[in-house]
Amino acid sequence: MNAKIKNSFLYSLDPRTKMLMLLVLIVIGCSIMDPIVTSFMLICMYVLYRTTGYSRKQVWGITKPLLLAFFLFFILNFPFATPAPGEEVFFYLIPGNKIPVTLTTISSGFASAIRFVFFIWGADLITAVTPTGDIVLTMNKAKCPPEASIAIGIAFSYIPVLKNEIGNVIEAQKSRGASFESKNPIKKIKAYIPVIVPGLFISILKGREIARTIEARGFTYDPMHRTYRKDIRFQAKDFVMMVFLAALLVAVVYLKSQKGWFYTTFILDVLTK
Amino acid sequence: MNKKQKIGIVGLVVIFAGFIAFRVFYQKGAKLLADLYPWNYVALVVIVGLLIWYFIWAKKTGGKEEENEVTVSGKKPLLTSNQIGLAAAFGGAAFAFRALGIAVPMVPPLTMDPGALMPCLAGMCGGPVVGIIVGVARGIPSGTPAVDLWAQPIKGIYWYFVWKQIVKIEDEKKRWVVFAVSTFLLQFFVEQPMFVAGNSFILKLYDFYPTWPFTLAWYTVVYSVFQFVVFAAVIKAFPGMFNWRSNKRKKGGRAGKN
Repeated sequence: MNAKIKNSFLYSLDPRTKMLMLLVLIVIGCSIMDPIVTSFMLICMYVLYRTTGYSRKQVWGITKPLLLAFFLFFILNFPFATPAPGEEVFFYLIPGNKIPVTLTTISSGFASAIRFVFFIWGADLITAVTPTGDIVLTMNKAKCPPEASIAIGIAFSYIPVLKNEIGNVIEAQKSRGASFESKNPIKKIKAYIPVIVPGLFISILKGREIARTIEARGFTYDPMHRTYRKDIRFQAKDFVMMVFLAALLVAVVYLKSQKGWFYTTFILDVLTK
Repeated sequence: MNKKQKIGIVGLVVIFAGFIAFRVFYQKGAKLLADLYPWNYVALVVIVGLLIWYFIWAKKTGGKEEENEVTVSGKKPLLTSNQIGLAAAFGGAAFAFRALGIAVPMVPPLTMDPGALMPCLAGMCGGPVVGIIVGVARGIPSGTPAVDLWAQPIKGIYWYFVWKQIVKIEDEKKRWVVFAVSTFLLQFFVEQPMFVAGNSFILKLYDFYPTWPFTLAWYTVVYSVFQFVVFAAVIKAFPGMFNWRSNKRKKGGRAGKN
């Protein structure tokens, strides 16, 4: 992680504020059906990425694998969306007036696809700017059992070690002639089994070492009253952010439930009326 | 009434509440089986069958006393240090596999990722709490945490209970068959509907029908095969850890644990 991200406003927020932010983003994302409003939200998310210190290239790196998924979500949605009553049908996908293509069905497909990218971007950004240790502390503050939060914390911090070890297994298998380049899924599964099994074996061995270490340090004696070197505290900017997020959430939920805004063709209807 | 029976009753109350919510909010007072597709009848039969089986099983095992672990602090710990180690190992491995790109891509975003099987394996060998922890660890950095944070731990829980029954089967061949069939049934009738429902009802990414069971049926079938192959390989490699007894006889010896 570069220094610019570490000095960013988002990174400096309390992890609980960031979790609330993610929750609010998910609720807002689920409430808005209009593809134009969803696109606007996506632009806001891009601005957030850039202000946090991510380069265009890094954002593209996150987005590129999602492009095919974008089309898949569009295809999964638009043939099954129900057109509005009396809406003009452009054409039918299947002869015999089956699967009508209308403005609502196309908008519905696009909204779902854009929403998918929005969710991935949001979750990716929030988890990237929240250090693992902070996630553990947040879980403890939320009265999560310390055994669970510690196990999750160890799992996260063990990733580089395991990545290295499993990487060695891959190299060893390659040197024995294994090929992982095949595009045939069956061949690929067959090739991965000799990596998955020793990889898990190494993980379990490491897990046993961890078990011995935490036992030697007396962790299980009284985990509820365990103390931590670092403590997390809310700052003024966290309260400001939480008030802003709460106001945004209330506004969206109110406009959606009471005024009927943000349906699939909401902006287009506003513009054409 | 012991703790397990209490949990069972709470579970049934939750299922009943879920059924009422389904009737009121989804079906909106329509006929009970209105607009249901043939696959739903199959799902219904499977679910009812599992419930009946659970009742019979709970009745048989209900009277057994639970083992109590005594600790220095006098309180039963949520996890032993061994279980913490297992949770960390499976949780870490799930990410390491993903970070190294060990996944078989199908149609994006559908992939067959061994990391997604870790909550199930953790539940099978470490218990439901370990399964939940590995599921949560898997759900936190997910692209869709609103679904993965609850759905991944559930995988760990039900696999623990199913596995506990599978390993009780004496005949190894029969055990493998039951295991393979259970893997497919759980994948098709529990895991996929759960994730599709999460994506459609919570994230509103697509409609529940016909995504499940039709549009993504092929993926579910292929995935269950992949899941069984990986599970089988791991269990064959670590039979003792999964309480898997082998019928193979050593020269001059009796059948024993591997």
